[in-house]
Amino acid sequence: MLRYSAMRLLLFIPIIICVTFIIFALMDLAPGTIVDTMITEEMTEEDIEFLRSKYDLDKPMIVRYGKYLGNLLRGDLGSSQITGLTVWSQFSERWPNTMWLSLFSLMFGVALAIPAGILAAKYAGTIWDNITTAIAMLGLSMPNFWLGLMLLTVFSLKLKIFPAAYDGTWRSFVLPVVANGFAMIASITRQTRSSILDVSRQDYLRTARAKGVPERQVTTRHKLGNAWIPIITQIGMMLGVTLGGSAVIETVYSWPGVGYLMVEAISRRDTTMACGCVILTATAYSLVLLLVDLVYAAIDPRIRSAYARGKKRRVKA
Amino acid sequence: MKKIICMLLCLVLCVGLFAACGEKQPAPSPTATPTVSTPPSGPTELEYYDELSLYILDKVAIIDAFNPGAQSTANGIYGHMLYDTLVYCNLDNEYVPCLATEWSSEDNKTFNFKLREGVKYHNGETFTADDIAFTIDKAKDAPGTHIYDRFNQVESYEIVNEYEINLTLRSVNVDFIFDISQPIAPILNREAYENDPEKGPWVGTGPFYLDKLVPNDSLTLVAFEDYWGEKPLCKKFVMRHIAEETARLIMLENDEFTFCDIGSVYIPQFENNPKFVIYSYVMNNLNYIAFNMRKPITGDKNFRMAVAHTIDREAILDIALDGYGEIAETGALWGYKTAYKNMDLPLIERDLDKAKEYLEKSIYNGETIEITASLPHTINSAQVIMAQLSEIGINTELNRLDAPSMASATAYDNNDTDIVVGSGAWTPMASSCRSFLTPGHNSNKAVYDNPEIVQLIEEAAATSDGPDREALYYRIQEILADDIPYLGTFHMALYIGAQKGAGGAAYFPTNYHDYALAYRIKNPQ
Repeated sequence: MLRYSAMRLLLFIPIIICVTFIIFALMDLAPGTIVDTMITEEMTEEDIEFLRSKYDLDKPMIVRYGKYLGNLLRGDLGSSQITGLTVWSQFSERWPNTMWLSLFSLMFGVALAIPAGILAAKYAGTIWDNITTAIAMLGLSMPNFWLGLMLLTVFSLKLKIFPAAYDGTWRSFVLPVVANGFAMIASITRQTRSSILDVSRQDYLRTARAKGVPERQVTTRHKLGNAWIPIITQIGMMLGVTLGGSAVIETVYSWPGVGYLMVEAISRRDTTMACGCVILTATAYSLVLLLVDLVYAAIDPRIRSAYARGKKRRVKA
Repeated sequence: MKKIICMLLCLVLCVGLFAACGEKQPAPSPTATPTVSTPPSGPTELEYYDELSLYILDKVAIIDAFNPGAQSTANGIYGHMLYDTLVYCNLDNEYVPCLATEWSSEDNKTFNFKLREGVKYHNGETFTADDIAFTIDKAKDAPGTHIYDRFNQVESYEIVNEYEINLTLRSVNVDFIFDISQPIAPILNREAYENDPEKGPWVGTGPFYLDKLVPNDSLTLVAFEDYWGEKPLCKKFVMRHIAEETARLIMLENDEFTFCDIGSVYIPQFENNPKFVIYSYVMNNLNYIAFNMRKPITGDKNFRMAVAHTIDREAILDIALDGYGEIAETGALWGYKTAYKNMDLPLIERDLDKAKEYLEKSIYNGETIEITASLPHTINSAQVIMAQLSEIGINTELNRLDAPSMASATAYDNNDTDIVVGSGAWTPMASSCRSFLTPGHNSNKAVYDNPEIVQLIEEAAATSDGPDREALYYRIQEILADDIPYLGTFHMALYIGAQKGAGGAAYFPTNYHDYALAYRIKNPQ
């Protein structure tokens, strides 16, 4: 398991090199540069050339990329070309906000979606199944920003229960968590339902019932125990995505998170900041996926023993 | 049962569709002139709120007048509060002593400034002529900043004593005092800047000091007790950027903002609400259609005349801004309240028959004309213009770009688009026409290069205010009305919602509003 984790961590290196190259190339191909965001009415061509040279834009992209990669290998993510502040300082300031928003959204989503999915599977084809399916479809088809605005209108404008924008208190967490979590409810509910229905057709459940195992135990131990893998994959993927920041939710609720920072960096052609943010979020995403793989092993003895067999084979060799 | 449910759903759908067809409220006229409201005077002592808050349009990530990445309209708004300029230009365009108590110039090239004594910076340092020297030196090394545009024209300075300085310009500029009177030309402190490059640029001599900056979110300003001038009426002033319009208007409704811009769609909702007062003004900026004079079709005057006779400015304003603005007043490109506006140059009226005649005489032969636009309201304008041009058979396609792409694609040297639908910033000074009309400037979206205009602009810049200067600027506008490299469409109006009892802000048409003396009265009548 340790060896496997180490291998996965080593894989980060080519991933990050690829990611940085792609983002660097895309930023270079996009029309306009950071200097174009700075042009004032009185600036002459000379001044513009001075700024282009200041930001190395007079050099080919590959030279700039090489320089960036060299700094990256020394652990330096660089500084924002706009503000001059280090990428790490700006990212680390906003990262906790995004992380808490993601975790709470996920907790909210999972807490509602898994019981709903179990209910839908247990009463498949009945009114309960139709109701949960309808809610799931609603969650999937409702755009994030629309739900966000509706929640703002009802709970902030009309009822005046929650603030309209981030103010650092727990109350400002509620609406973005609900808006962000609602889409998760939909997909996790559907995943839970279909996984449980798949497992329900397995022979070992019939055997368990034939042996007289109580239905509750059949559901919690045998059904859910075997249905967890795709559900956890889904949850892990969602956590990974939201850790990269939800630019839409962050914009609607003025949430000082990473997504908003990245959008701002891209719109102002701040390549260093955009690359730094992408590297850090890609790392977080990869770590979450690794964690998901480790959780598989923890909950499924077959995967655990597969890891162990792999280890023994390597020991023999 | 199923039929009943289906019918109910259809009914809901129809009601929804009809509700969307509701009649639009007519747009009220904005105040034509900039506004400022002063606290009402009376026999009783007024009680003010200690804390005020303001929505700012631009995100502020860093405050540093010398950093090209830190330039936006917000610089002018917090600039009024954190810093002072040598001279203050009020809403009537009168110059009022500020850090300089007196100034003079015999030739509009060398200026003498006598400075105010006893002025303290927020860090306790005393303001002297050396700070002006520092600001000029530092500004000259900062292309891409507003302060560079103001002070780079200074060729040299001579410190006469601690409280007197002479500035010599590279060339004569009658409008130099205006240039340095803007809040984007603050005088900074050498000690503060050299000791702390991060927070040193925050230090000014203004009525407030910056207590806290949350990048891209908010600025918290606190009243400066040692301020030399008129003391603020509040103790704390918070400026905050909220990206989503609905959220910020909810914050205004919920009294989380004292002052907040209101988008055109929401104006009727706030105007009819007694909890709020609305301040409005017409911006100096002019929205325009710029023809690329370098390209054969748009360079053909007959084609430009055809377009001029086709466009319906009222319709453009109605779609772009729900009618909240003022139609361009003259046939030449000029700011709304910019000096020396020639009102004798009529707009070319919409006349489709004439438009078709001109189009037939032009070299246009069914080609697709590319129209480039960037801002939401200019994109809306462009779409209306495209629909109108199709009425006389001009084929168009819209090229929507974000701001950096727009700047790059329409830069003077590589502007390859046929028509730009844009918005240009005008100051009250007529010299601001230079950036739209002279070669090499990126605001010159028409790629207009007329040596006569260049010469007239240079002459006007060196001519003192009076009939001679007026004649020069009038002549420039006559040439523009004849050449039509640009067609002015409308001036945008801005509406600011404030809590009842709030006022004291000076709304400048340059958008550099001054909230230094803003207030909010408790229990207003």
